[in-house]
Amino acid sequence: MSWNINTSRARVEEYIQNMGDIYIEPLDREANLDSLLTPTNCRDIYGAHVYAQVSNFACLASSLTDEDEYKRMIQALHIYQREVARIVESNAIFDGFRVHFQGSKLHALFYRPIRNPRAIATRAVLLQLVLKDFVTNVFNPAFSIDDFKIAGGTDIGNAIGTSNGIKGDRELLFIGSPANYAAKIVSDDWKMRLTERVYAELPADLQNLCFECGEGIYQLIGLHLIALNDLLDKYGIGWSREDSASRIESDKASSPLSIIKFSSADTLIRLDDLSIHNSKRVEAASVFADVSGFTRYIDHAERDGRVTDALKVFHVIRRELATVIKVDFDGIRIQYQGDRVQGLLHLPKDDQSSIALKAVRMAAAMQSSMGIIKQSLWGIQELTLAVGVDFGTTLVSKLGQHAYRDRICLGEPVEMAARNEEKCEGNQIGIGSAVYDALPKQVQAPFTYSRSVQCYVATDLDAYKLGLIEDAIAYDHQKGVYVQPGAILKINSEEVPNAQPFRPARPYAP
Amino acid sequence: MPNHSGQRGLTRPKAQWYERGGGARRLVHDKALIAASYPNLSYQKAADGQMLLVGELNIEVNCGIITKVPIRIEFSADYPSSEPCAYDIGDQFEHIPDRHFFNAAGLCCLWLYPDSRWQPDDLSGLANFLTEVAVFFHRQLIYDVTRVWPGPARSHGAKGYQEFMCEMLGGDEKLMHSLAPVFADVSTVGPQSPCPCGSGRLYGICHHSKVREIERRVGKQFLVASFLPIVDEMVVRDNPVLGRLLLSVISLRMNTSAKPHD
Repeated sequence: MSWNINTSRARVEEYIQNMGDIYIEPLDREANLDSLLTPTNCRDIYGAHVYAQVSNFACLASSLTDEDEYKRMIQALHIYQREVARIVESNAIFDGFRVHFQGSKLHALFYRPIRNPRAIATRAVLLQLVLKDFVTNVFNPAFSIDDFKIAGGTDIGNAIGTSNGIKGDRELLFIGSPANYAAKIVSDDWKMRLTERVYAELPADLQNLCFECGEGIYQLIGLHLIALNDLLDKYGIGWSREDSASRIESDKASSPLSIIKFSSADTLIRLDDLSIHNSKRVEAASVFADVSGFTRYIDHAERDGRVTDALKVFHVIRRELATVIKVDFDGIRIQYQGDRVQGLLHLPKDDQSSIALKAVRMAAAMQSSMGIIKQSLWGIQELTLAVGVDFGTTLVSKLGQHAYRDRICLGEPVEMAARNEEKCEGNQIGIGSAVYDALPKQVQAPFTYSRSVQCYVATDLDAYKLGLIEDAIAYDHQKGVYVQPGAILKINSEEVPNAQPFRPARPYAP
Repeated sequence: MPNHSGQRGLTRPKAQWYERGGGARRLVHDKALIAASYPNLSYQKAADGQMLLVGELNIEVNCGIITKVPIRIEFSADYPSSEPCAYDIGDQFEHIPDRHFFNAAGLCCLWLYPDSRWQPDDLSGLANFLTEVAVFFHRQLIYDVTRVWPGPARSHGAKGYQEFMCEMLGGDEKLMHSLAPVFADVSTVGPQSPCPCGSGRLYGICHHSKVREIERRVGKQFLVASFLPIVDEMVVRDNPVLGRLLLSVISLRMNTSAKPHD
């Protein structure tokens, strides 16, 4: 199971041929986005995108060793996601749209009332204030396993809503700068931030709660409960600490520690089998692949009136990268996050060296697939792929609201892989030291430690180059190669059918 | 015609090898072999009658990417007694010693001459030779990526021969140095003399036969050339006056005793 140029090329051609025409219309009335959006039926949605992250969970998912503490963490995460989803989506509270959780990071969208920037921005900012208060004053007292802290980011504007189109496993995807930038301004210093575009739409009383903390970025100040309640009353948001605390207690009763189960995985994890009753804690490599320059590409496409072409490009890239993960490397495609794809490799069980090498092969294969796509589609030479990889203890589950359980892949290596990807430039692969140290020295060679990225980075490493580097290992170990003569002469360091093993002579030079 | 280590083959006989009975039969056999295993190569006859095998090796690596490598195989005048020579006739690879090219024309140094795997009577010899050539170019592709030659290789120049001879002597570098004056032909040791290895045994029953075997495989000329630097270092270090004298003798012998290797 590995990447092959002919297979990849055939897949890409098939995606292009079978995609059909893409339609993008403005979202001008309220609709059920879950059922409305498909890969070809897309909407241009004006809205505020909110990201809110409690990063303690990732740390706990990788560091806790006591079984009961681990169960308490799963319970806390499960209940946190349920309550946050209720806060976001309940008509009586924010009446927003929960896109998904990326681990413990919420992605929510406010697009109602349609084309009402002030109301949308107000709700987005108030959600940030409520979540801050909720985590500090409701969630932390209810779960004493850690001092949970939350950080967030909000941006507003037009983004294209589409979906992955897989029945029963539908994921909504939002392409455009507000969806991208809101995530980018989430800081690791536990602050709630918003962009200038959001700030500009806010009413004066909310603007007074913000101060500029960077170029075009504003930060929300903390609020006492009375001031927060006054604002919620004023803007018709029906949230209270007491209600949240009550719902959490109810959730605790319905999800006691006794029903929470987790185990390791000997075989490939089936995400559909996961729940609070069946979570997996595995030693795994997380891989994030992101199309560098895609937001800019979409912006240019909008300006040039070829957004449908750009969306076609997006779907082709998305599908091919997911197929590389699932089919070429027998991995798990965890989630699409806008123009980013998250994958996980956890087999062979607990074999760090094999998993690390497989993850690097997968990252290199993704780069090669990107090259194939660029050969097959016109006008995307500016697009490149950045890939981040890291390895370590990871929680994999499906938690949260019953009908909308989110895929959860949580742990420090997940965060680090995402960070490595974000710090890398196009055509680069960034790997953490847990991956680097587990690689054969020949495979380590193309990676150099980058102080700026704080991980090992290889530039222009693709499946072809990595394959040859691995062939070099066979020569260096004097194992030889397998040769199959013919019009096409196949030479491979791994045994292939009809090929003869061959150990070459030692060449000389005068 | 030079072979892989730069030595010269026999003077070409008047009748081409492929015009003689055994050679003609071998050509028929080899043609069938090439058609089956290397169909992108075809036989051509040069203006001087030399037989060539010319075409492309389409090397597919494990991810399915194919690289076309144009090559030319030149058959020696006494083929199959002597091995053919392979040339890279494309411009993808720089023809430098670190890539194990003998010269700018792209002659491939597949092996040190005494390491040669060529067996004249082996009917699959040409196919095996071409596999060696293909793998040589596969290693060139790796070199393109890593800038390091993959796997073991002989050192360049005289050191490559010294490595071979050291291996023949069981990897005993000290022994090789003690025998260096014999190899370099600056010291004549009779069978009844004490062996230069210092064992106290007679040379005739100690290392005489091993030295003769090495001489046979390497060839006297290359043996002398290979050990010249070692003797040079030894005698100049120990006795500069004698060293200069010996070096002039060696130099004179080198110029007068150079004979084609057989």
